[in-house]
Amino acid sequence: MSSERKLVTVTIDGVQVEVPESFTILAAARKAGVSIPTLCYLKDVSDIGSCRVCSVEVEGSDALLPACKTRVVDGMEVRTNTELVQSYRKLMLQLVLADHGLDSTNYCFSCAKNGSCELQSLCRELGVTESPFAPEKQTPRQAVLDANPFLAYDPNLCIRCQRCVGACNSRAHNHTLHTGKRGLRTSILAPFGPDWKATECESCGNCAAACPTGAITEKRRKAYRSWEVTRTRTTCPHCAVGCQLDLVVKDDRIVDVEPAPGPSNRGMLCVKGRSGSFDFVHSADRLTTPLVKNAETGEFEPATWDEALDLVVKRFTEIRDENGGDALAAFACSRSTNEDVYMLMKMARTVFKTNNVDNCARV
Amino acid sequence: MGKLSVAPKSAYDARIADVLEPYMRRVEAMPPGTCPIAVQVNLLEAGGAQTCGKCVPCRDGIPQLAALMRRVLNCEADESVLEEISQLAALIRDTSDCAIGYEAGRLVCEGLKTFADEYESHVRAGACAEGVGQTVPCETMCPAHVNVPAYIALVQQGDCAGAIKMIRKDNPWPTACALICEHPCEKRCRRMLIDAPLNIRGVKKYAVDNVSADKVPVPPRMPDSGRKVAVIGGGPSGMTCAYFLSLMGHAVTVFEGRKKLGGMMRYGIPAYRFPRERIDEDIRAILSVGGIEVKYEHKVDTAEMKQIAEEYDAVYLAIGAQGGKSLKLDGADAEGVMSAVQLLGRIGDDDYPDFTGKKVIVIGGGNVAMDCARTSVRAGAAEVTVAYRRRIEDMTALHEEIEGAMAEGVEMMCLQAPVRIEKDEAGKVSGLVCQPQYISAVKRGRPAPAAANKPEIRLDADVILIAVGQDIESAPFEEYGMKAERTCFVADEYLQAEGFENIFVGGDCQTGPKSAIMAIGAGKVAARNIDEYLGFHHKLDPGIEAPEPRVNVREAFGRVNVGERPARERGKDFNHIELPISEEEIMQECGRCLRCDVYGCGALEGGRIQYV
Amino acid sequence: MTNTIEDITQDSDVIMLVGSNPEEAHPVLGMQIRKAVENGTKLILVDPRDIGLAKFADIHLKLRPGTNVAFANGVVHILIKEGLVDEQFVSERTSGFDELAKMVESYTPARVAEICNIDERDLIAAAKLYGSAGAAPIIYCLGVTEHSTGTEGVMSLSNIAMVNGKLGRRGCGVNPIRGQNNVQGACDMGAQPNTFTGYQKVTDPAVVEKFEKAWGTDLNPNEGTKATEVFPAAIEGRVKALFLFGEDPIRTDPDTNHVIKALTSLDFLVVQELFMTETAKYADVILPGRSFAEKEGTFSNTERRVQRVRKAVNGPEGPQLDTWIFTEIMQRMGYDQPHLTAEQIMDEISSVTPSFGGINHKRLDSREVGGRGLQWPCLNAEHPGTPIMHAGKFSKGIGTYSTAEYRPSVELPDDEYPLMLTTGRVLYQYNACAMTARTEGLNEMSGSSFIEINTKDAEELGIEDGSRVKITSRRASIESTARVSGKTNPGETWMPFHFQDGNSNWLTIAALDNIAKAPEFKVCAVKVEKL
Repeated sequence: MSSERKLVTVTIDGVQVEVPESFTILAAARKAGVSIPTLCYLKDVSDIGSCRVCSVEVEGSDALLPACKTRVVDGMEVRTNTELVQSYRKLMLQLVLADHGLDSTNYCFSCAKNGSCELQSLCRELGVTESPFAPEKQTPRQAVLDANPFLAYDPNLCIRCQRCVGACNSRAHNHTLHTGKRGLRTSILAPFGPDWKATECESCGNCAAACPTGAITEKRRKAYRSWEVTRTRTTCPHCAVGCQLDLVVKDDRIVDVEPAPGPSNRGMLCVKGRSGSFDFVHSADRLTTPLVKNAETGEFEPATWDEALDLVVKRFTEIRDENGGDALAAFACSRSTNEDVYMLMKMARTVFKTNNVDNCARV
Repeated sequence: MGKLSVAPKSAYDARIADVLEPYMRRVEAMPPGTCPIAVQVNLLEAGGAQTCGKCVPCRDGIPQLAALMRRVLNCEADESVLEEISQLAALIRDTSDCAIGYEAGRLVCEGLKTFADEYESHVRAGACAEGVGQTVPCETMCPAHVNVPAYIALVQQGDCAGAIKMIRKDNPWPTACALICEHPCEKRCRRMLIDAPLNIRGVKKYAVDNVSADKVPVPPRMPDSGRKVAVIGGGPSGMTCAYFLSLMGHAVTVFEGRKKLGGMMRYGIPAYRFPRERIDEDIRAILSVGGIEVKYEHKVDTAEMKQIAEEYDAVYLAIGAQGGKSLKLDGADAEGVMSAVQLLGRIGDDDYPDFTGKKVIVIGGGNVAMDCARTSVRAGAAEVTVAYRRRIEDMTALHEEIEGAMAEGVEMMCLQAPVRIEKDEAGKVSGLVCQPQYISAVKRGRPAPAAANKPEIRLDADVILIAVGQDIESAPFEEYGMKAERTCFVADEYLQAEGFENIFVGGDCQTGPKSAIMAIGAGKVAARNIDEYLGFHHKLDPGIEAPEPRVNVREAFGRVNVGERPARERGKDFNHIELPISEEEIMQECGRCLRCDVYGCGALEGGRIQYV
Repeated sequence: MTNTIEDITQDSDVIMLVGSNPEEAHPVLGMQIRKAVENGTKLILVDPRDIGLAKFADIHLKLRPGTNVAFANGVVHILIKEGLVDEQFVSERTSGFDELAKMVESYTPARVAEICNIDERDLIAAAKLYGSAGAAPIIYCLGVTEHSTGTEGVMSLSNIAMVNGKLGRRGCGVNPIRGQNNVQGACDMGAQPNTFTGYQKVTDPAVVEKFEKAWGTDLNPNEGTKATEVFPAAIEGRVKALFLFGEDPIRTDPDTNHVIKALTSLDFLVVQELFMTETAKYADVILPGRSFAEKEGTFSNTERRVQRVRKAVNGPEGPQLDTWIFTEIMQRMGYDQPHLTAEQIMDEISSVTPSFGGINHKRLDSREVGGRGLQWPCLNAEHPGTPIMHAGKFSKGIGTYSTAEYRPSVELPDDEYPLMLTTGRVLYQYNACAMTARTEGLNEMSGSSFIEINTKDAEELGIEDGSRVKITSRRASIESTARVSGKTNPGETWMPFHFQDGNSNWLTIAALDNIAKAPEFKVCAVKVEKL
């Protein structure tokens, strides 16, 4: 608590800022308007400091320090863009790139994350186009784990930043996605393989949301390219937590959902919100025309809106006038919007003349 | 013949020697959790670097073998490669001209057996076996998994009380471990890569010397669970279990056979190493939790064990190894022959022996033997001799214990195997006859003694102390139905006694005589598992957090050791032999800590062994 | 909820979770509770099943379904006995404590333990753990409300928090986790027989007058009939026409036969829906509406947080916006209702609802709100909303206690129907599956009916894990697949209500809570036989 309140002064690339003692160099730099590139760091998800791309020079320190996890101290002088820092950054990315499975079978253009890959954009930004280092990848290429209906893991594209591990273990607290060892190499044990049903994985996809590359992806990503879509921020239609999410839309169809940082979900979603909140919208069995039951046959027959509405109005008016408003009732959908519910309620009270209005709160 | 030169043939040898020292330190600091195949490959490649380049098996075989092993290491090989490795390693072992080759081959051959499961995991599952993966060295090596980096950082901040709270999260014996712990936490300390392992015990000692543990309040006890747990044995393991169970709200009854609590820390470790008033600090703190009833001088027999198991919701059996092992020697029944356990046990109840003017011989080479020898010095003995079958370097006692004893005037008679004890007409011991030994072949990893072709020797003795090991007094419990193998109770890894639902067992009586910290670790595990067994999942709040890390200090420093009083002074009394550490010393020492809980694997999921 | 998800999962020392399985029913809340618990927050779980969180619970009271009132009264009894009453809070902010104390006197731990089938020692420990915590929320869900004593259960839980002074501050409160995305909003919006928007009472003439003036029409002065009572009224012929907007009572309401009988008794049934649901099949007219992704609007989450819903796609051709349909009907029935946008409708809501006075779309979309929504009461444009209710003062002034006694569930097991059935949700589906079952992957994860049954009962009935079984209640028989484990206590079974291949609501009883009229989904008696 006290560290939140205590302010310290730090200088970043000559810009002096006053920040709480609990700040990292990265956070302080942001405040100073200085941008430091990061790769493995993801706020609130992972700050293990594995990629070292954000390493900066600090006056008085004999080593470069990772900005993402080094706390500021009073009087700290940080340089984020020296020649040394820049050359290390580039070199670091080249090392990562050598570990990214960029061989003949999997160039960026065939990757689902092309265009929204953080490694790709960082390399572009820093002018890294290829790696002088021999690929660390093993041959034969490792098998892609994609038995889970929604999620897939391609170990060949994994850069072992472990953001997914942070997402599963310190955000979703599912503890089903771990790291393992292959001798000296760390591997991600993603529970999406043939035995996925036997794992405790909840398929919430928070790992995929955290992955900076195309290693862990929602399978739906394959259906669109990042530049083809628009996003609409909305509220999940399932339970009452009220998670904020973005509907990803391509050609007037929802193709995916991405989590958004809402106050109650803090950037997380569950399997239903992430994977089960929009297929129904475009379901082929949506009702598209009013239907009126033929009293003779008991079959539904399509009707125009005028026909259907006039029938509704006629029957409700008749029954109301004959028996009073108390013989009518209207139930609202507790899945629908406040505005919808209000108008249904208003309709019941003003024209049905009934207070027999309720919603499914009770069931 | 030309001129001779005094210059070394290779100008590099001297410089290489400088590199070898950190090389050896690096090997010593092998992080816990490292894949054994990685270690094997590394070792093999070190062998490859040593080849002179003459012979095929070594010159060509080792690099080829290393390449094959790398493939296995990287999980790119199948079982046929293992077969190739096995053949090639055997060839190198069997056909190399010199040890550089054949030892390298032999180590691989042995490794294939020792680590067969890991090799199989690499070739079959394409991954290391579960559990491989680095964890923070100090807290991993500590059997109680104390959060070492956190309490060091707290001491560095000047918060000794906070450090004690942090230690207590996993170990309610901070004072005991500050004074007498074998400190396995230091074994793989990463600081070794730079200079030397941190003096972790020293840091803890500084904390408890500055704030006595009983002055640091324990966390509040959780509401009464209404469950009753019996703990049999009030030693380090039993009292640890009692402490945690009581914090969780369970009502604990401790059955202690002796007059006081502390077990072998009181009745086995002499006061000059662990002053009585200091052990009482920990005990007072543990009992201050409340909800612990202690029944003193209450030995549990078979009938009562049955009753306890029925009456209590759960039982933790932690009776330790309190019996003294005897030697089958002629004359062992002589007056003046005593087991170490007897001697030290009496001292635990403040019954100090008087050996004024006497010649004392101690048989044994372990820590307990040193304790007996040094106690005898303090009891006024004229001469104290340790008779031991092997050499000094083969003694199991800690190096500093042996050195301390010698400094206090104890004579080490090594390579002497006791043959018989001589007694006078009154039946009193008069001497010890030994058969001289010579050190011979290594058996089970240890050089074994063999009888030397030399005549027996006789040593004068008024008192002979036998310190050749401890026994577990398991009989009443075995009779009750508990399983034991060679008197060690049988339990699973969760310490649940075989064949029983509600009986847990741990500490020396389950492992055989080991260290206090192992017993403490077992007590903690038992408390957790008893809580689970009772249907709870209690979480305890230590009331303290690890401070933010500082940046590593990369400059090399010497290790600060704990000083001792001068030998000729300390040998005259039973007062504590160690001296306090100064603030400047401890600040330097704390500053060396690399905070492996935050830097390196400690930042990773699974990189730590900590519980809420 | 009186509080926010953030404060009850970040600032609490102890969480008391009653009749709620957030890991499955409210997963993102579940994740945050798991985080709290892993970080050291203690968990008291009061639930008849070994739900996932049970393995983290400091204390798990695996009580018999339908005994929440006894449990809560027992806790209050212990708080009083142990001196854990917050005297100041009780005297300054509540009235009727003495009556409460008198009522709970007979709820001794021994008696409560007997009723709830738990260990009295655990009850005492749980009460003390909650009572002595600095901050502790009570979080509950449908396991408390879906009983014939549901409202009393809720009020009894509130007694605990009031007696112990754990209301009106961070990390505390009494927090119902509402079942569906906008159940909170539907109630807030006056889709209730006894209240207009913002809980303004239908029986208050001043309120009626206000709405009559605002809407420019006379209103029916009679308090209406609750949804669950409409079905019996339909069978009796008192209710003759029903307008169902997006509900599928055949799948979600108890005692399906009873529901079908009610629907077929109606003279006229209109269903406004996205899909041809089981209920829609009984309609006279079906009107196709729009989904959440095709409209603007707001949802109110369980924290009373009003958040935006935005149009992402046009959706299929043919359906109409739901508000368009309602407006058309109003117009065609002679009421002068102009067509309004969602934004305009919210402005109207705001104008007639004091607690929504400061809520409108423009503000919700503003930088000031920053995507965090607004929590009502939000009285005016300057009001920041109310994250924590009852701070300093109860919204109704002085807090009163419930003195409801424990009453057993309406239908308890007997010789013929020896097992108790409780129903609930699984992670991978939502309610009647109208939305979730249209995602194939979710069906692969969990797509068919099952019944959890205790190992001991299963052994006696010769049922193995995976056996097909027939489950019969007084109302119907269905088939399902047995899952045998210790998850439920002996004598108790559990079923999800999502799956039409064995929907538990054929079995459940339409017994209603005496106050809120919620059905007793959580307790009925069944027998299970191997097929």
